[in-house]
Amino acid sequence: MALLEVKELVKSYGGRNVLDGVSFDLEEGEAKVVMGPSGCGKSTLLRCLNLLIEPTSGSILLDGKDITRPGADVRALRSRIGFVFQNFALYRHMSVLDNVTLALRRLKKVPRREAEERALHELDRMEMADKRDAYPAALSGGQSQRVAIARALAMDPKVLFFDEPTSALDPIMVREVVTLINGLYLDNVTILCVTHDLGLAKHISDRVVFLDQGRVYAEDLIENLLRRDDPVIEDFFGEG
Amino acid sequence: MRRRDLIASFAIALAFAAVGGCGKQEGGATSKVINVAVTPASPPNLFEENGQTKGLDYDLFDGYCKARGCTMAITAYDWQGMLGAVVSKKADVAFSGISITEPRKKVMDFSKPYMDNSWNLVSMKSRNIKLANLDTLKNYSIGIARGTAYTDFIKTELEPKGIYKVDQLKLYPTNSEALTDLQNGQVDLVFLDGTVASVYRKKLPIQDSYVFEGIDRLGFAFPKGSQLRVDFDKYLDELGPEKRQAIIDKWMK
Amino acid sequence: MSFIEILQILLQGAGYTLLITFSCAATALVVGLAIAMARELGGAWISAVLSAWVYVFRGVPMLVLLFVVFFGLPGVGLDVPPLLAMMLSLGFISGAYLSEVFRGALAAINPNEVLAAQAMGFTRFETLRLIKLPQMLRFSVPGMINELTTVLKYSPFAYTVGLPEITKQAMALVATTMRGIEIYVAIGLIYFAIYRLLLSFVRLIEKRYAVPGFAEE
Repeated sequence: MALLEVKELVKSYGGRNVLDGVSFDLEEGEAKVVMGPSGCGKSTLLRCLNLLIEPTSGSILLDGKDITRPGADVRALRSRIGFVFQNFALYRHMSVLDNVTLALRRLKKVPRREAEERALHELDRMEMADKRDAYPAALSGGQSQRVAIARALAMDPKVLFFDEPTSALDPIMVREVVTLINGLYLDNVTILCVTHDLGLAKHISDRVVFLDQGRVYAEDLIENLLRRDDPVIEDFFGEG
Repeated sequence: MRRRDLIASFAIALAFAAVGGCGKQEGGATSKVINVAVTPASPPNLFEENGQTKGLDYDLFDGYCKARGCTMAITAYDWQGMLGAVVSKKADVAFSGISITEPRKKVMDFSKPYMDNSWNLVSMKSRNIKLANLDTLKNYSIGIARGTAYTDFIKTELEPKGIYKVDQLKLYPTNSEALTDLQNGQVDLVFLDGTVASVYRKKLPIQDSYVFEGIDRLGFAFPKGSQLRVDFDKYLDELGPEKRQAIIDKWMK
Repeated sequence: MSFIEILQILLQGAGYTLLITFSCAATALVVGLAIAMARELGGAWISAVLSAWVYVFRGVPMLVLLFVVFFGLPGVGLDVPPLLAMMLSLGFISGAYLSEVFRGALAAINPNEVLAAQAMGFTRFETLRLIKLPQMLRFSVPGMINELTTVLKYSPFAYTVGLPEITKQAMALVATTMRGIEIYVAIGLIYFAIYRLLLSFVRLIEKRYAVPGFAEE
């Protein structure tokens, strides 16, 4: 049984199917990247998986349990999925440490000291422990993203979702972040990453789920995909 | 939790303010408390000195309370607030040199008139404005305090005769502001009660330019249907005209 | 009577001025927050009702409302004490204005942060309390200071309902001394001093909760 199973996921907005029957699996410890041209539905896909957006039809199974059926515990679901946004989305009125400990203390009711220990452990992993008392406004893009990742990891999630994690960063910061996510990948953290950055993709996963017009166009190892003689894929990546 | 303390003390203080604003409504076990509304800006009828309410009207009502064994709870309002208080029955009586007028009689009950009041148009002595009659009145600007009875008088008596128009009037919050403008030349004449004029003549270099006699009488104002008014009228009869005039003379001289 | 003595007499009303200002400002804060929160959490129907409420209270002249509450309500059997009447008129009107300040402040919050909170599993209430409210309040500080100043400047209307605040002291004093200019200059100074006092108090609270670099983009 895979950790995450997506079956025929459909999301329509007023007659238009942004997601038109997406299916794939994600095993525990596996890392997959979702790529595709603009409008292919990749961000929508990610947000459907933790029910930030409500799917129109289809099913999503986490640990074998269908989370799309009515009565599902959304709160518990979301605490098992870590989400990292393109624009970091750090709470700007809280310090770095408070950002990371917030969910632990308020959702899991972990006492302050223990929460801070766990937070510092993750911040350390992201090489941001010395900035624990800084506020988001004082951080660079790369630093902010690293804190965001630490924040997601602090809840000990079963899977980490990344939504275009490097798209808002300059090349130097991109390298920082890619290195760290690569470290997670090597640690066998389960990862699902939406991106258009091929360099990132190569560093953090084996397999790519290629989306086009709301459907899984292809799913394969990266090098295989690049070798394919396919106009849609070539169009996206630029050169054959 | 410092933030919670802040919110808690805030909430408590708010509650205190709301409750504390209720004020004390205590009567002694035996003596009745009468709620009095005044505007302490009309000497010699009603004014404040060293935090004490004093004046001609005060002495008269104080005499009543001593005779009947009750005490006064005095609240100061601005002029319109004072009249509103007695109309809405928040006050049992109001006095500060209030003129008895027809519009006012519609919404409140007056005692018997306790003194006659002339209406004086005063001006600065230095300008030497003396009006033998009202023909030239419209050439001058007149200042009055808001809510006073002069507006009605001008509307019903002077305007129809073409002597003066209500919109020519300059309105002020109280007599004091009108007199300030008189002193700095912004207005030519100010309408004052004869009583008030008698006080200010001692302090400012003003003189009467024209005096309207016999039109105004002062009364104590009560809510409509007030029993207190009936009893107060009785007291005025008991006091008698000589004693009443003695009190008036004491303040007017 | 020296200028100092004038000041002393006027200051007797200062306690009431402060009480009125504080009570009405506090009411405004409570009302403003309630309206802002209700609009955030409630549905379309509640929002429509509250929009109408705010529209009415922003349009009605304060003195008119005060008269209705204090002098009018006894007619239907509701006797309202003067301070409460001030809170219900000035407080509610100021509250309506504050709710608009809060509405603008809420719009300045980065929606991604709200999304992140939801993605973590926080409910709408928790997101409101932990993320939106702290940011909203910080963005609202200039608007809140503005309203506080306005409340202070409208406090003299309390004399109309019989509260002996500073302006009443001034009017009574001018009537007996005729020294209008000195007295009104003195009042001006006192109001200015009260304004500075309130400002320092607010600034103190602001500093306590300040976040470095918060409002920068």
